[in-house]
Amino acid sequence: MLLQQREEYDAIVVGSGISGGWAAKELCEKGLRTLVLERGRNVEHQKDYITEHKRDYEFPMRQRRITPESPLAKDYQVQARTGQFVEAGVHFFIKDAEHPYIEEKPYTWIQGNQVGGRSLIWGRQTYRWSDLDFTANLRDGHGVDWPIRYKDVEPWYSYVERFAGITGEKLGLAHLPDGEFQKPMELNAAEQYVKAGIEKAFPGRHLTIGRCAVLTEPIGDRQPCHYCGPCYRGCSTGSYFSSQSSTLPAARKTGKLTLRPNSLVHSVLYDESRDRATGVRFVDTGTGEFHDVYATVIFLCASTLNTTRILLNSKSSRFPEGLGNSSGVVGRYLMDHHFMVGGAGEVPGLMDRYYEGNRPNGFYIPRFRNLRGPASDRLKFVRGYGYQGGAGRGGWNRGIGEPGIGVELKKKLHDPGPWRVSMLAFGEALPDKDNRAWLDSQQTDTWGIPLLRISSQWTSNELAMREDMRAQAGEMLEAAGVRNVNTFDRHKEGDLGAEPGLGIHEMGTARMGRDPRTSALNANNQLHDVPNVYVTDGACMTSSACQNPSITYMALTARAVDHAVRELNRRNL
Amino acid sequence: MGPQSAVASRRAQATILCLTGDAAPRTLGPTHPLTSAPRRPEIPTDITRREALRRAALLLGGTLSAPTIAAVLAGCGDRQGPATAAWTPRTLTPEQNALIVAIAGTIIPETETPGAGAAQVDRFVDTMLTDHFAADDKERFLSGLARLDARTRRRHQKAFTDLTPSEQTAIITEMDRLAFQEAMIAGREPAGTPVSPRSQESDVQVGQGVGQTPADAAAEPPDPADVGPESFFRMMKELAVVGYYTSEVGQTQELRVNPMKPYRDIPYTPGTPTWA
Repeated sequence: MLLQQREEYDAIVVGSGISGGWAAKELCEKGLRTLVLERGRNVEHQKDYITEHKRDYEFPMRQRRITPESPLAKDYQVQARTGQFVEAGVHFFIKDAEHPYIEEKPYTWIQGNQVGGRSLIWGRQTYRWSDLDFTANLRDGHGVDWPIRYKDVEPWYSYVERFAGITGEKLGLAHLPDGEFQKPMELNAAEQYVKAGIEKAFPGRHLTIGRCAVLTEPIGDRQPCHYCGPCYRGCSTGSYFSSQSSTLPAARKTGKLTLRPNSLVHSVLYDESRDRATGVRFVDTGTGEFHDVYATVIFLCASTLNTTRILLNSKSSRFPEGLGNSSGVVGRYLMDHHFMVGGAGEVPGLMDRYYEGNRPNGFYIPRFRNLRGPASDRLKFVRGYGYQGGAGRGGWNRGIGEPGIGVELKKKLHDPGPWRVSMLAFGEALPDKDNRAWLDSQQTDTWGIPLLRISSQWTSNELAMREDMRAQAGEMLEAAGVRNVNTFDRHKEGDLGAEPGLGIHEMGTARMGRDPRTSALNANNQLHDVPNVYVTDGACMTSSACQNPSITYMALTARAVDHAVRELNRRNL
Repeated sequence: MGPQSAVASRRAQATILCLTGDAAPRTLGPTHPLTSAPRRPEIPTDITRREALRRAALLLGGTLSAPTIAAVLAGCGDRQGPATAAWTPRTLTPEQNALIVAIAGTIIPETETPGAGAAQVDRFVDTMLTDHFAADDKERFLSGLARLDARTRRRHQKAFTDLTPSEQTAIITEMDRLAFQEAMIAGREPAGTPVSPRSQESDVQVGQGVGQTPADAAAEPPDPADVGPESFFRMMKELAVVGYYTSEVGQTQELRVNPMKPYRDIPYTPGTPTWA
């Protein structure tokens, strides 16, 4: 073995997605020499958005969805389960064949595998949490209490929103706090019609334009959205928030950043004599060689389940069940948002209205159930849900499902069809001890790292909530005057359809809490057991709320870095 | 995985919706400064059969096989199609390809704007069959094609490609009626199912109908595999519609590209094309 100089940094960040990018930016800007390890390939801003602005006809399969049955999905048997898996975006998804996991029950794990992670392909919807969410566990007894409250995160929401750039409309709702919004995008004519109908029929319910991390006003070099539409291909004007457009350039500007792609972390190194983590071990996926690198503080931002896998695989005599897992909760309480339930129908009239531009956003109906407490409405379920949806006029593709051929068909499809509106509910899932991920005792990946085994299913609360999610979608649409309303629920027990993971909001497997016996992380996202290791991706979440979680990961990450640097200065790490 | 695609297709729509808030496929205008000059392959729309043959012969070094000639001639069968022999199908035989050209051209004919032929829908169909369709779906599609061919020959003693446009239209109209029989009873179907091959178990016998010798072909009862949402013609029609409206011809000549402008409500006048 060659003698190697010991490679040392002030900080190591594992992962370069939404959380990792923020950790890198904040650490670098505070003067720490920071190494970011990313298991996937490098993706350079602009240059590597190889399908951006391509027209449908430039793709051999014309941008049809690639289903698992397609020969093209051979290496992507899990990724192809999501509707996001289309021809123009395949290169931003992981090859399942090379990164397998084991499903005890149907669990769809959608993963990026590149610098920027899923920040390149995320849905960009950004909603603050409130104390209705941060106190939910305490008030209804599911899970443990969050060790923080809204006031702890509020300034950090503002901080990250101003940098990320969030478009949205202020509503003044206590349970869905307003943020630092750029000017909102527009609702179209049918959405305004549905909004008026719902708000009239159901006082206290709201329909608003989505709050999302797409610019409507410039920030530095980042330009306002040019409304091309398919954000998931990458955005060369930096109009949506991604690690590439936003955090990594800021980190790079400090001169403190070292970014190493193709570096899959195996474990966190732990020194028992000092009771601190000392660095990480990773494998260069190109050469297959293992390397150890060292730092004073470590941020795990590898995404919920990969962070879990790293912690569980970091075994020592002090931590035989994985680093920071003296509580035994690491891997447990896996949550996701349950969805694929909602309603759709035809909006009458408005045949003299249309829209132009390709809006990368829809509408949002904030939670209206159990607003005074997690069970305040005395329903068959606790907590709540919100809806995301959109309306548009029928396009040419209605020709597929309707009778007619020849000149008549062509004539019909030439003009836009009637307006249709559809909406999907996103519901809070409860933390359940038996929804979990753990290391398989036999099977390993190419690099000898044990595979993750996942077992997760919706609890009776989610199932009861789904009935209401479906029913309320129907009631609201009908009350708004929408015709031919149909409601749907794709969930099938033990099968694919609305299985856990599909929401791509997995979280909770290294939860924050007040008690080291029942939680992995403290109020500052430090491992209770090993204070120089911070976890700020979805693994840290103590409950799931029903809002899209990424903005909260951003805020918690920036907040945790601030804490870490203060602790470093006090020599507490 | 197994029998998932029908559900998966609906899920695909819904999932895209939830993350983008707009179910319509979005595309980019060719006028955006970021877009390189749009590539517009020359699409001959007024090519004659003789010219097509001449070009094909040139491309093939002056010799043409019988099936290629058949394909080239069939390529002109929808009254407007281009027919260069530079392309050869990977899955379809020349005869099958000719049949696809004729069927697609009947579903989406040339009018004031080009039809399926000029949009080279046959190439899209061949690509989908070769690269995208699971083996059983491919077989189901090809056996449906054979069934249509055999049925036509029994009724007219001619190949579909040799029929007059009105005879072709009559057959395709009937296929469409059978394929949407349930839909016509049950009412309108949700629009916009993406192309995704079906993989559900079917009780339909592949190839059934071929080789039958009914006394009166016109009164021949429909094959179950030609009726309803799982019929061959639904696949065929989906491929034709998608192939046409996602082609450059379909997007820029028949329809129009939604410009890259801040999203806003605008007035609409009937006769203005929908966004591609």
